[in-house]
Amino acid sequence: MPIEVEHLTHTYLPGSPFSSTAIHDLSLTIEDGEFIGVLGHTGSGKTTFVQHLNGLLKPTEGRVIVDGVDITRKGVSLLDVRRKVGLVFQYPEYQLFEETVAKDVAFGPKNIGLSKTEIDERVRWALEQVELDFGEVAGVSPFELSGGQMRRVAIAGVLAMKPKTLILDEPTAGLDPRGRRAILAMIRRLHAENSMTVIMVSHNMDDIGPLATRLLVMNRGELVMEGTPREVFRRHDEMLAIGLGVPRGAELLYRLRQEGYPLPDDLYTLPEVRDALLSLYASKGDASAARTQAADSASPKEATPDA
Amino acid sequence: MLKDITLGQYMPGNTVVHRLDPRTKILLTTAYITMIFLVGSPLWYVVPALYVALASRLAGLSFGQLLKSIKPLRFLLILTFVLNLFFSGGTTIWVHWGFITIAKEGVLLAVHFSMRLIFLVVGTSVLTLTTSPVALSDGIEILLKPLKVVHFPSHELAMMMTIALRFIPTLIEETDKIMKAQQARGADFESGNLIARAKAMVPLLVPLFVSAFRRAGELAMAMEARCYHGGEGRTRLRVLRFTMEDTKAFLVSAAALAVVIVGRSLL
Repeated sequence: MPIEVEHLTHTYLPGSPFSSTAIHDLSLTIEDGEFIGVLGHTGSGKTTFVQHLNGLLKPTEGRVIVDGVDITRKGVSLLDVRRKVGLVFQYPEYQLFEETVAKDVAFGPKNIGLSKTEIDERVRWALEQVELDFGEVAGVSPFELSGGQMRRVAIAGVLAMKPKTLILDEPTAGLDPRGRRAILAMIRRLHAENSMTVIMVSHNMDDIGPLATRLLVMNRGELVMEGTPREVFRRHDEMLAIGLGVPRGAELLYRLRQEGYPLPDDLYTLPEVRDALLSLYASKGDASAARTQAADSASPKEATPDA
Repeated sequence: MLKDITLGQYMPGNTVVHRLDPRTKILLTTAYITMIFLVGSPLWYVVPALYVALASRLAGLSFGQLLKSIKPLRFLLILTFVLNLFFSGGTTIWVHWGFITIAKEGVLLAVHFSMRLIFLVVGTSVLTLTTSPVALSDGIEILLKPLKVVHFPSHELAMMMTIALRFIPTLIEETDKIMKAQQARGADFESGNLIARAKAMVPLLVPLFVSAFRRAGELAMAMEARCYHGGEGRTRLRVLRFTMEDTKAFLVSAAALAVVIVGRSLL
């Protein structure tokens, strides 16, 4: 179920003195099974962009084609589109409203008009996907849960629609390091095990780097860079110029290169950066001393992912 | 759908009327309302008509803007007119047709009350069109200050008004976001009968209330952190001062009011 975006332009309040163009002439295709990372500075248009993919916003110009259907045309069943493309908003825990967790997760399936048994099945499945225990939380009010748990319930509410494409807008915003790791691991699993297409909006390079198969970098409503994380993260100066950065590993190698060390520019995950540093030491002679030193410099970083 | 909500009707400008002290404008509007109720017969509405015409001319308001303020009132106006026309009795019968009777007194009364309504709304909208909501609540706060002797919380009232106004755009934004989030889960706010639509509001209203309460708590905390402790000993950034223009406005209004009172005694 590919998603094609053709010359998408979106202008807020067109024709009024407050009009502003949030997206300008954006075209791309998202294939099945991809894990897309949408990067961009605050106000770069990433949220506006993803809201077009399930018909919440109508483009001012251009088309969005989901599964061969132009969803910007009149008379298209938007419910159908929203079944296929699930969208988890930023801070989704603020959308919870039902008396119990189970009822809240059932909201989406109920709107689709599924049978009772089917709804029940999906609620169990969705809660299992977000690693919550059905027996424990199903009858509890969502407002009694912790922030991280509430967010999982909200994500389960979207998963219960069983979308083929899952969009997450800043899913880790405001979470503590453990909550962040848990959510990221969960998203990775959803992508791998359920073969969902995942589109994740973020401005945290360390979150998105190890997960995404392709990155889209937006700036001022335009798509300025596109490619694998490896291709994008080697463009250190450009990323910095638009208010973004590169993952810590890539940043470290960049600074060492500035100091004159011969290191490659296309590495960014911590293991490969470690190996590169090790081999640099090894080439200088004393391999065993190099290993301990490199391990020392890598391990404190690993323990503080928020650095 | 939420784009249509405008915050009040304030039209920024820099005319004599815009520059008047908000207290003056509130007082003069009160005087104007009194004047309307003192008008004795339909003919004498000429005075408030001229008064409003002068004020809106000076404020640079168009006839259309004033007319727009009556629009939401059109059903009430028609109802007032029709009820007075047919049911106020009278002796000089003009039309008698089946069970319908229209008397001269009825027509006069119908015109009288409709005019009263129209002038009330048009006149007060000159106030809201030329005074920013913040200036209005400032003015109200100072005008209500004397009531402190009876423990009337004038400062708190004005602060509440200001905060409420401040949060309207925030809440609209929030509503829009929650609406989209529920729509992404297949919620439908736009179709179905009245009951279905009312039910569809629950997924919108519950999160909205929860977040409004959360915001209120956070705001209270932030205000306390900046040592807010009510109106006691509080000074203001913009101190209101009466000027010559205010004096002139008072004089013109007093003259208009006097004419109406004299006219009433002539009847």
